[in-house]
Amino acid sequence: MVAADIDIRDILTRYDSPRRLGGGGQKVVYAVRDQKRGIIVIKVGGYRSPQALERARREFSILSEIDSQYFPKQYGFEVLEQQRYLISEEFIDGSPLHDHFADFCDERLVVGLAVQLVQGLTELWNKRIVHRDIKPANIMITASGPKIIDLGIARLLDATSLTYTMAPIGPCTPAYASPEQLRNNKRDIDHRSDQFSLGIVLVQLLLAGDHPFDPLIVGGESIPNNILCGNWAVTLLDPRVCDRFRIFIHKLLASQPYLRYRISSELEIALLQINEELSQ
Amino acid sequence: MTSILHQLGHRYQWSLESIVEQQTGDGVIIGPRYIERTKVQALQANIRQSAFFDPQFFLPQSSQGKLPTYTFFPQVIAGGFSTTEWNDDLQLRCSEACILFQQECDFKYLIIPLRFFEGMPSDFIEKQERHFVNPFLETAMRLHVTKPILLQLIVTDQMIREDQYRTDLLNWITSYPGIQGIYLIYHVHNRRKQIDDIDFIIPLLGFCASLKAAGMKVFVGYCNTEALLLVAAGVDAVTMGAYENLRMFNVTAFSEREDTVIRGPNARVYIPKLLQWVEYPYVGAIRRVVSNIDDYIEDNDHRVAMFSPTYNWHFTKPDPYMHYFVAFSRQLRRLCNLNGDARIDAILAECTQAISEYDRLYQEGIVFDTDSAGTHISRWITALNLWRRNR
Repeated sequence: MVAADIDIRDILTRYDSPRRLGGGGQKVVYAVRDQKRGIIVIKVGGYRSPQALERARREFSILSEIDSQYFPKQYGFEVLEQQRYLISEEFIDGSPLHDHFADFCDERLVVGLAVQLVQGLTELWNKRIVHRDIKPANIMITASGPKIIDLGIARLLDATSLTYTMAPIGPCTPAYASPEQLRNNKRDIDHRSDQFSLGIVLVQLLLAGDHPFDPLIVGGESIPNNILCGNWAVTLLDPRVCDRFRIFIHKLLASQPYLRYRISSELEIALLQINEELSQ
Repeated sequence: MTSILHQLGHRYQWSLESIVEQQTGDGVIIGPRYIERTKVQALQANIRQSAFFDPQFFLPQSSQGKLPTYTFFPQVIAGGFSTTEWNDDLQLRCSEACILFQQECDFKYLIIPLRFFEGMPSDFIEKQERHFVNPFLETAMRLHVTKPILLQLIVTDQMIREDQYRTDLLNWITSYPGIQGIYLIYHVHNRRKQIDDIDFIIPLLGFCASLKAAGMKVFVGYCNTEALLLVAAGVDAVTMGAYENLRMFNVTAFSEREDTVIRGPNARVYIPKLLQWVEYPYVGAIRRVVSNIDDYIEDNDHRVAMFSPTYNWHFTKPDPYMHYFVAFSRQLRRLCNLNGDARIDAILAECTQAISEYDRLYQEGIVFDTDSAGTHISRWITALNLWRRNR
């Protein structure tokens, strides 16, 4: 069951002024007005087996425990007829990062954003959850700072996949996916896959919105192919950043997970040192 | 700084005596195959607290030696073992008993054991994860283990040689934020007494260096003289052991086998200048042709015993091993006091010097047997040079 197959007309009748925000994977997403909470987000997903439902419930339960400024609050989980379930969560009033590329043209600002995103992601990683879809569209810039949204394809590392798929690549946005996601090498997908996606986002900010693996910049056939080949805009990035930030980015964009940061505290320490270098 | 650990087995008292009296090590690795449970529990607290315990789960069905005196093996818990019974419940019970024993003894690290597999099985990681890593980590969390956790990684030389397999291992090992390091053991098929395969040594050094670069501790067990090479990769500890079975891992020591008469090896003496253990008859030959035997075999109480005309050479006698502990630990410490390129330069210099020594002894008429000769050394130099160039 994919998002397009899910009929949610019966659910939308419960709410005022529903507005479709998107859909992907196995869920459709709407902003709706809830009588008690005001505007909220609802996500309706489909499941094929009791195990899949249980996993979705477990993921909701774990995400509910994350009380963080970097993620929308989770409100409820409801099992519906026709093998569907509904998750309601906080509506984030902001705009996606890709509308703010011009606001992060300075290295210091990018490092500042990276610090916040790493803090947020660490809360997920500590619960053995991988976001798997870090990209500018899923980073909302709000008045109180960045929020990471759309954990629709987030994955618990000790759980089996929600969907059985023969697809050649795993659930992800190919332009921001790590090599192991593009190869659908599930065993290697973990918190370090999110690091790779974060690396792309940070370089894109430093290049004023240009994608570092874009064939128009670095040649090659396509962005995913360049990601698999490790073909990115190194020469454009390197002169624009301090040594420590350059090393940091290169480590995030390493082709193999073992070459990236093993534990999140290492990322935090590295960013701290970059800040020190920049303040000298 | 690289530490020196003693791999304990049969006659483990020799190691303990050597550490206490001659400071030849910084700790020990204890295993159940040769030391029964009550004796481990009775070791002095300071020995246990600087030690770690290798549960030797290499073949879970094994009941060789003292293994049955430990309560964490499946055949002890379940009163027998078959792979069909190796279910989640039994795995959790084994992991709990194993962790509780390690906690009770207050060892420095908690070790998660893995089982041994021949060759390069395609489901190696999945099996190890399901049967060992996951149940042990789950149990460690439930028991609120505070000691740093090391994952035992027992690999074959084929696994290390093959690029993709090695990369898969690295990605897997480094994926657990809760595991601080690796206790590495390699099983080399058809090996000679010295590891001399360039195509194994280069990736082995790279493997260790990659783990270090990923911020993991690396302890290498069952080392023979190649420990000298491994310090080039900056590992945290290498090992020394008395008998050969503690310096060359061989799974047959853990497999059930017919009662066959096993021929003991010839007695050997470790000569630092030659980077080799040589058969004892060559000791007399070397004494005849060199002006100062102290340069080859250090003068100490153990040498006095070995050089006595009435000394009855036999591989079970302690003196050659006790002498080795002193000589090899000094040689290692000299190297370990250096860092980075200076350390590698020093290793290469020792190798080059050893080749010269062999040449010199050959000029004097000494022709060594294959296992005492220095054919491994030129390969070590080659491997070290090539690894260094591409690291």
